[in-house]
Amino acid sequence: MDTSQLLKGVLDLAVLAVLDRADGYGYEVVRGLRAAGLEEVGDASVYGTLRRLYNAGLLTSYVVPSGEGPHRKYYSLNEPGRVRLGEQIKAWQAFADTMKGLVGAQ
Amino acid sequence: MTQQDGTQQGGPAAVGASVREADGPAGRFLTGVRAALADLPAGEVDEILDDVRSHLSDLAAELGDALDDRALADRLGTPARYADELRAAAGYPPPPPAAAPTTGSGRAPARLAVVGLIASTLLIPLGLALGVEVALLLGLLGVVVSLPALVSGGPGMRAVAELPAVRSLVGHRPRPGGPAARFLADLQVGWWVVRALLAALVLSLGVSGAWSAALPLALVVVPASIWLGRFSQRDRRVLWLVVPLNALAVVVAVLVSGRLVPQPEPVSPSTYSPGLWQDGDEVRDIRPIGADGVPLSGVYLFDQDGHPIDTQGNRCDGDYDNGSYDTYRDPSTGSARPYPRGTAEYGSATGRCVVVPPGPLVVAVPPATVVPTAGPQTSVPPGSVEPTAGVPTAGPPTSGVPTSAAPPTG
Repeated sequence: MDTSQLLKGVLDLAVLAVLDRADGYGYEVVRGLRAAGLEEVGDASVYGTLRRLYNAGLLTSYVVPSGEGPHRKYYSLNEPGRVRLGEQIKAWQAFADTMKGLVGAQ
Repeated sequence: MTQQDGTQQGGPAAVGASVREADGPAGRFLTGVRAALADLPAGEVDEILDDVRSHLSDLAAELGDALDDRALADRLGTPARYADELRAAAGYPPPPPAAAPTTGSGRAPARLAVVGLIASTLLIPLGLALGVEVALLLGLLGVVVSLPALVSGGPGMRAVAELPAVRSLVGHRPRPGGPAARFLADLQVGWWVVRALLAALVLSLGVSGAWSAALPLALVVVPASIWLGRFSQRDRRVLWLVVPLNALAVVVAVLVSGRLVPQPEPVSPSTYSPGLWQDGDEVRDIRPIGADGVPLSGVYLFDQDGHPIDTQGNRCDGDYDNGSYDTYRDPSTGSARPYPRGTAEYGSATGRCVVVPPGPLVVAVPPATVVPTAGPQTSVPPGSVEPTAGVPTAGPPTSGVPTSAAPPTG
């Protein structure tokens, strides 16, 4: 089964969870997802998700000057973002339990 | 850290800063992404491209010398695919079908919208400023003519943005992210503040008829103007409202500055000076002479309303520690003195301000009035002919008799 299809539904949750551990710039989030085992996540999907969460007011951003290269835009979870993360964790766990019940029975 | 390796190896595209340039694999990729997102609002595209730029910079640091078109394609796909993936994840609308509005009669609404924008921008302020109704009506017609394209176009007004004339015009803009573009962006914010202040002035004058409400209004209008400016960067349709209003603000600015500069001359409060003035010179004392040429003393003078005429006979500045400078009031009785009163000068001996009594005076009395004719005409001043002035020969009008009971104030 194509995990990228599964990933689409939980990418918000995954990105919020990475940022809940520590603030990060775009590529750091990509690496964080990869390191957690989500190898198939597309770079552009992560950047697009960050923009959408930011536009939805769930993230704040700040710019950190970087010695090399352009300045880095760090994203950080704000209060609405943490609330959303909590909701999504609950929804995910309920969904995962349901699926376990369904799939584990066979 | 890999980033440092990348920069030190110094491949032309491996250095993070070089990603800003429009050449090299990263530059080409960036250009491709920009083209694929062209239908999105410019402000949003700029922010996305900032992200892509730092993404490419991080990749360049990771890949080092290996960064070329092929490596980028392996990692990220084509710019168009990258843009589509980002678009889908960010929740932007899918790209509009490219063919529809770009050719032939499909361009007509877009052309009309451009013409309408120019017409309303030029004619509405002109019509309002000069009071030319035809210009005003034509300008409003420009707004109407733009409506079809505004209704059918998205926030990016892609149909208008793709007109060849508009494209070549936009192509002359300074490179986004460059110093010129950043400077213009700063100027733009300043302009948003200026136009808000002008709007506050106009609103204040229009609502209350005074300037005083402009400042509290500005507290509301300035943030609103900045918000509108940011919003118009995201939704280009707003330009059809904002640009004519901007032109109007420019006209108001010209009118306001034109009115403010010559204003200091006729301002009445600042030119008000106490005392009695004739042709710009202060009259410090009055020397009444009878029609027969004989100087009069003990004379009280009144204006047409019966108010006492008072000179400020003082030429001493600031020497108010003694009462002797007062030519106006008798220090002992407190009542007003009759003319001639003398003038207050610095005494040559003491250096203090003292009242100098009226000195000898030679004046030429008009010969026609010297002839003493009997009857009331010669002794009646012209003003006293009015019935309200009462009987002139009975003395000063009762309303302003400077006796000790009712001394003129001053």
